Amino acid sequence: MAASLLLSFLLSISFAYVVTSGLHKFFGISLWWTIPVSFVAFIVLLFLDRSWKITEREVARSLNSKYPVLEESAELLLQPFPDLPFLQQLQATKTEQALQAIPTPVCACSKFSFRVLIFGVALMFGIGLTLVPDESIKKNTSQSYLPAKPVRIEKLPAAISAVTVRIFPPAYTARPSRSQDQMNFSAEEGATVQWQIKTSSAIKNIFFIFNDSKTVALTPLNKEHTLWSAGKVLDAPGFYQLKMDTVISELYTMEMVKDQLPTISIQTPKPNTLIDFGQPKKLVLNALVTDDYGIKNAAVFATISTGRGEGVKFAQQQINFEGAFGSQLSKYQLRKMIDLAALGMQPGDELYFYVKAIDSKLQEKRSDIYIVSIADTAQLMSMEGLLNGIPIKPEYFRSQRQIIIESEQLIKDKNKIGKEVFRNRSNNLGIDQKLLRLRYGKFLGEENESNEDQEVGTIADGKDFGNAEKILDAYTDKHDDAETVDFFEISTKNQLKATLTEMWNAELKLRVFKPEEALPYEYKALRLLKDLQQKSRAYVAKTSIATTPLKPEKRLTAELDKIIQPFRQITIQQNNQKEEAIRTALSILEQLKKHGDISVQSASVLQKVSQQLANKAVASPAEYLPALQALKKILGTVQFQPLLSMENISVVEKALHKMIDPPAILPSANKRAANGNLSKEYFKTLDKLNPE
Amino acid sequence: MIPWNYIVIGLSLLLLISLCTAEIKRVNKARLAGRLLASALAVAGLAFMALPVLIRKNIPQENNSRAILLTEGYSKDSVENFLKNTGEKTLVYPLDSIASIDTNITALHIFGNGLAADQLNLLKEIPLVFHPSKMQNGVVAVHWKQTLLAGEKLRVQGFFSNTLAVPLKISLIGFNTTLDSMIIPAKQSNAFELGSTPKHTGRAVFSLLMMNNNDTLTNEPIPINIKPVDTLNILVLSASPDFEHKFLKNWLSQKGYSVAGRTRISKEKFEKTFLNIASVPLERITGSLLNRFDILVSDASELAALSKSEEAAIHAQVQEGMGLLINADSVAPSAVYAARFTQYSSPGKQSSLLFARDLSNPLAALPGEQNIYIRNKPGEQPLILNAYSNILVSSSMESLGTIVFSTINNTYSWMLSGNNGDYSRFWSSLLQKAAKRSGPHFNMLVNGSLPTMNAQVDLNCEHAAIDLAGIKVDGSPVSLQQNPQLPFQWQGTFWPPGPGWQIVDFAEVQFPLYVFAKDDWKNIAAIDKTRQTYQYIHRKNNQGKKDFQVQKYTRTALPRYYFLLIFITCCCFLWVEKKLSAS
Repeated sequence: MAASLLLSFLLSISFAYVVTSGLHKFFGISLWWTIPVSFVAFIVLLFLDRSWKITEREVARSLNSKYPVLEESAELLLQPFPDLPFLQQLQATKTEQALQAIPTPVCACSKFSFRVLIFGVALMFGIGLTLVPDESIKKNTSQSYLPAKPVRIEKLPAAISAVTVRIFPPAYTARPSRSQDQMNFSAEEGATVQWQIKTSSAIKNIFFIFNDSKTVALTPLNKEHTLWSAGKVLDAPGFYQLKMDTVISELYTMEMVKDQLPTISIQTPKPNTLIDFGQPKKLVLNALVTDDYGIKNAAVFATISTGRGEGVKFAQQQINFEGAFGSQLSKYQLRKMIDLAALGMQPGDELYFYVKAIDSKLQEKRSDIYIVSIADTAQLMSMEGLLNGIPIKPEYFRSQRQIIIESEQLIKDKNKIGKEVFRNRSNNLGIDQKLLRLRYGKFLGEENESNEDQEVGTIADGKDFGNAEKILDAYTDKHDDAETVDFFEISTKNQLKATLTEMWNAELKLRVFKPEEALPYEYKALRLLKDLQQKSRAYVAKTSIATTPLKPEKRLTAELDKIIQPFRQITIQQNNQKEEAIRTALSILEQLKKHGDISVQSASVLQKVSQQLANKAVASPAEYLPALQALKKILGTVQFQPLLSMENISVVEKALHKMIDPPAILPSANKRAANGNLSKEYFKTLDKLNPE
Repeated sequence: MIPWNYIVIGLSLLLLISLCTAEIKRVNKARLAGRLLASALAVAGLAFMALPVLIRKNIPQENNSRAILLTEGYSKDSVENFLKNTGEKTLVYPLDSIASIDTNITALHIFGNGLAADQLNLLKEIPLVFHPSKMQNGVVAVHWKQTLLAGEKLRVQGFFSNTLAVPLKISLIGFNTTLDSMIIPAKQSNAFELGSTPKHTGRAVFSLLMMNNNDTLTNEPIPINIKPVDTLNILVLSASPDFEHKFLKNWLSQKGYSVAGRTRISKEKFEKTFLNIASVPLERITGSLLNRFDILVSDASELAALSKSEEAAIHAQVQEGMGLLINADSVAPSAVYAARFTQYSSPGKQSSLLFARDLSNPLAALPGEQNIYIRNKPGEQPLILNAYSNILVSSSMESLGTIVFSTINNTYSWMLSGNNGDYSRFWSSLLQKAAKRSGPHFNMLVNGSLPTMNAQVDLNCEHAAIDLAGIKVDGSPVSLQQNPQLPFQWQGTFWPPGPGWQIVDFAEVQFPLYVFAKDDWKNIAAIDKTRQTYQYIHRKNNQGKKDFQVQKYTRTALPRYYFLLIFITCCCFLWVEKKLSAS
């Protein structure tokens, strides 16, 4: 019984250990969990095993079944011997002797050692799991716990025992306040920053010096003058210092995260959309609006222009997106179906719209303007352009128009005429469309499908036997011939090609007796042709010119005495002195690296440069503040050269190098040869030898 | 070897002392001196049988007596290999015992990188055989211009041999910033060029880093000295007000140059402009007026409108070195000097990028059609060409002066389109070419590739002065020797005691000179020494071999049986003497 319990216990411990070490490895769970897990496992095992339930009778029965020597009489031994009848007493004595002869069952022992083995293996497995270093965990932790920027190690003055910087972001950001024990901080624009400084001893007064200029006194919170506080609303980035009585601390950065404008990206429609005849007059607007804190509202502002020329009218309308912006999320995927017909748009009208988004700081952002226009089929059919312009290919245009008119007539007549007639007319229209297409194809240098048969007859003439020229003439295309080649621009050709495609489609639909489906293609072909026609027009506005009247008496007298000679003398101040100071400072720092001592003049250059660096540091403290601090250290210790640190010089050099651009190339005086008059004589002799 | 020597000598002395005391203590004092001598000789004979006695011996010329001199960078394997083949007789000298080399050997085999010229001179007449070491990994050759003008690009060019099986990165570092870098593939030798326009004024030391991933293999200094630009005085004459000259005057004056301008607005009526310069009368162009200016910029028609005497004044000044920049126009190709350049027109070509002789990047195309070109003639140097190799700007020399002729008249459109860089590069190139030669007559060159501390540096100075006493390098005087043929050339040598920038100080000018530390540019120094050694051997070989026919010696050990003989003789004497004295 006890052995069984011990076995279960060992087994449960080994199970628990393996499980928890696995969890520890992959999920970072503490190894102490082994104890409760093993306890649970033990109980589960006990219930599975039920070793406490085993009765002596059951044992006897199992012995009976296993050892025939006992002659099924092991139970007799369980009963008190004197109570048994004689025969049973005899049998019991025999069985007892037999039982003595049975070797002690090894099964329990072997089970025991087997479980110990399992325990050992599990122990080793678990230890192995915990000992093997795992990259995935390290990576995970480095991602989640390490900050992106390398943390600068900051030094606090010795008298300060603790610092708490509480940052309260502005309410609209909906961010919780946070606190830190570092003086360098980064906060949202408009955030309120509160410092609480605890000093180890009483101090008369403490100041903050912001950006080397503004001084703010801290207020003591207790009588002992050891707890101080100050507050500030962050409206610009910069740096600050702590001044306690006479001690001045190093510089600390104040980084400001500016509130960004919302961004709007419209996925559909395209910036310019044309709705052709036959297409649904609906528009699906898909837009993604994002902001760094939250979007307060967004809407579509649409302008519809109707009419043309001088009769253009505009109507403005605001279309709201469904779904409120109550939760002010930072990202909204907006979708809106705009029914153009419902807006009252007719063919030929145009819709201009933009999306405006307002973020939680009430900053507005507008998207670009998108244009949707509905093709005007009525305009296409008008003859206006053809009548007063130069008719380029009027018959073709008329033909396409004619096909459209006839198709529409055919659709109207469909029910009146018989099926056979309808099919016939539709097919005939298809043939017309084909002929039109072939005529246009010529402009693109496409083959004429029908002329091949004719040629064969002329070549077959016996007189021309062996006339290679004639055969070549018949079977070659003379694309490079000036007479046959076309002079269209590439864009014109492309548009012609597109027209031909539409004509192909129209023909197809007509030939399969579906004039309704052919109609959109016919319209599109006509519109493209119309565009081609418009392209070759130029519009010149009428203007009137009023010239000043000439004074004939003043002209051509050749009198110049009243003409004064302009004179200009200026000395231009060079405005590159600041840059020059930095350039000089770079080489001074290089000298400092080697020698360590500099002249008073050089020190004053470095002093000037440190002011420029301070200005830069106010704008972007994270980038330039370490350099400013290093330069201040250099300036402070420049008299004691052993204290100069190479690292400081390198930091300053890098920052200064970043601040300026390389100088522009400029002409300079050439150097004179140092050989006296020798070269002069040489060149003069050269001139004499080669006169011109 | 040495302990053996001492053991033998010590034992011999003990033996000698015991023998001598025995001889002295003998009752029969007959022939004591003889006995003592015999015992001493016997002991000596015994000792010398154990120790070799070297003697100097004349050897005939054919006999190979060689020595090895180990110089920096020698490979132990190749030396051992050599010794195995030649036998152990060869003497091996380390580099510091170069002065003690026996000058009578037939051949001195130099292993390693070789010797510098001054060390080679110590070897006098010893015939040399050179076994150079294999090329090391790293920069094999390098060059850069140490003194640059502000705005000029620093180009570090050289050759890199990567013997490793990994790609290496070389980077140019200045002011703690990587300015340029390049990857050299594994097992390859590549030419490299790294460049950057330095931003500082004055002296600085950049560095060339060779890196294998993040391991820095070498870090070599690149000292550079940036000189500020010397401004010029420029006179601009225009036949009519135009944008080209107006923009040029404004640009020059904003950059601090002194510009005087005269623009003809009517007959004998001028608009005069003086920018950064005191006003002077400009109505008449005279020699004394032109003498104030380095460059005269004018359009051809204004030059044609000048009087004969003004033309002569310009001619005289150009011959004295003044630059003349002529902007061509269609009116007057016959103007002074303009006629020298033959123009031709070739219409129909689109304007294209412009290529300058001294600029690495092409200039942006100018708007409008440019169809007047300059025919290439001997004696002229084209400065700006278009993509079809038509010459747009050309230059020619006239005595000391330079004449630049340009057919481009709309460079201001670069300024208008905000392309100040190309404008600046174009005019810098032209004006630099035309600028008068001025400044101090002093020039200094350093012989050899890199002046190194504690090594001889040869200075070559050029100075027009007849009497140049000496110059000072970092305060210590260096005496100069005048070249007898070319009196303006002076030579001197000095040994810089420390690394870093040194000021070569001459009364008028100060010339910065960078001295490298011993460990800088080791590869280059090694290659330099190898070259010098080769040159020296080559020169010696050319001088003829008869110089080397000198009697040579060698040291050989005396045969040991001589000492055996002495020993036996002495022992015999002592034995016979004992017998005699006993009887």
